[in-house]
Amino acid sequence: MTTTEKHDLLIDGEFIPATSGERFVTLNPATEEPITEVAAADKEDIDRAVESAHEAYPKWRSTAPEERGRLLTALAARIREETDYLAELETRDNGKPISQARSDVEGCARYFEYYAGIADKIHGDSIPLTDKYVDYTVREPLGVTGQIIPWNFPVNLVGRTIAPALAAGNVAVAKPAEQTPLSALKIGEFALEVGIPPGVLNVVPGFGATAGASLAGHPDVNAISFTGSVVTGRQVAKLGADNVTPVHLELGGKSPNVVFPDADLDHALDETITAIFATNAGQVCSAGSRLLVHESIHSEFVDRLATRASELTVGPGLEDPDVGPLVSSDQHRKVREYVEIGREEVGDPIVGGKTPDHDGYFVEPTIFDDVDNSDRIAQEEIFGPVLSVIEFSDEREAFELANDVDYGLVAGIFTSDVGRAHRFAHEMEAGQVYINEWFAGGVETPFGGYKQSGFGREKGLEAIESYTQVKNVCARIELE
Amino acid sequence: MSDPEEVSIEITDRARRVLTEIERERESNVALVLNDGCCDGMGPVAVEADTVGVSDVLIGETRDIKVYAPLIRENARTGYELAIDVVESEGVGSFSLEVSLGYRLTVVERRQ
Repeated sequence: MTTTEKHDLLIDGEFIPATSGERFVTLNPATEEPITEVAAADKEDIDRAVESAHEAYPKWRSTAPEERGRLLTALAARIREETDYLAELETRDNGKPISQARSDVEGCARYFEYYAGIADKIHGDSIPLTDKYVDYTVREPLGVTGQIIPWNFPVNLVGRTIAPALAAGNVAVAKPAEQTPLSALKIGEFALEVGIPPGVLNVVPGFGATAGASLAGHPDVNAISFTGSVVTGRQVAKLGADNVTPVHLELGGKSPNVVFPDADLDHALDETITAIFATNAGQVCSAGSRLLVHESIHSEFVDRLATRASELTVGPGLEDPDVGPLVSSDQHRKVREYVEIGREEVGDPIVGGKTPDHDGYFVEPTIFDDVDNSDRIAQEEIFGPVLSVIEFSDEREAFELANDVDYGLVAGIFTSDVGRAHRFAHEMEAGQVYINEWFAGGVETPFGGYKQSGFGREKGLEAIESYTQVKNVCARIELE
Repeated sequence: MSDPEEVSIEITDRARRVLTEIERERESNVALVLNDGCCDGMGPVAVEADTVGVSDVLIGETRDIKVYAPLIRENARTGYELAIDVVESEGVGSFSLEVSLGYRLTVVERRQ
């Protein structure tokens, strides 16, 4: 795989440099070495990309839905064909273990495949209004959609955010994160190869304050999808509000992973490792970053967890460890800073807390025990391999602690009591509830937040609703 | 709202210089909003001062830079000392205004 190739903006079916000529370097987080230089879009480039999308929209919208579906199916196949290439690209750019990158590529292909199948099944309703009228609704695309894609699942989220938009007849201008722009550019290239017309999918890497803000605030953009922090999400929403543009915000979480004594504890242990350490080094919005464990099993469960965490392999993603590097120096600094805040709040972690003494943005899997739910490390999203353990004494307290956080993205429970599991599901202020499996669900299941975790839904059929608008048609048919 | 005296905030000369450059470019005062969570990190977000949201609460001021926290986190830093600095950065997924200049604001937070 070349590391000297330069990457330009994909606008109107052509790869072109930024108008300013500016480029930025994307780094391999395992080595801190440059991978390549990428064109940095600013406002002028965003304007060009939106204009291109706008021009492509009428034809794409009027393309027969089954043909849109065929093209997206072909794109899914092309992505699968290049799984090895894309996975390696993703691992070099993001740092994640190669097996996880392969899974993300498959997820991306699945999104295009899934929404390809939906393209010709976007129906309206017929509404009875007596025999004097015929009334029906149609779901229509919104037009030009903007996707501001984060760095934690770059290739996967290209599929998640763009596939439903295109399937529903929209066109797209995607701004991948500046840390991880490479896979999105490659998917854009594949889209052209399989026959998706120029301008339907534009890919414009750049910085948030310039490219991202220009996209979110563009008057000809008809919907925005953003994944990131609450503060930045609010900025995106304000920019959208100026143009009365609908915005979907997915703003992270501080999700409770609640373990009861009646659970299969070996399984709960495996899933807890997956929830916070062995998936993208904890850089996951839906990570299980708060472990709520019953007092009767606290010591044994946490001791076993600490042993397992200390045995996890940490290393470069291409070696396929359990835990890869964090994505950037900024993220590395942030997570280490939270470890220090944790030391001040509850003392030394029972495992981890150190950074290996070599290049790369690595942090050991870290567990803080006996955390109070009001502590900052229990309330703020660290976005790294750092777990806060909180003890509870009964179901009521567990449920209250689980909800006692500003976020509401995910809540998970491990129990063999079906009634308790569903009481939990009923009471949780969260967009997703996992029962006896962390990250349960798939491309078919809607995903989004309650409370400060945002609004709007991606994935599943819900995403089609997010990317369409409803028109009601009412005809009086009774003759005078 | 936190009493501003309960949060001690300092900013380095180089960080203030970067913010001055932004203020000059944008012909606007700059404020900082403290952030946590998700992909764009806990670094302070530099915004034009007149865009600070109604749900941001002032927690302190340093060298004519007002520092805010989101309402939901208004008391989280009571009793903390904040040291704001800036580093050269390869870029982060933030709308913070210093990023396009090749910098990233940082904050070190310690209990007083």
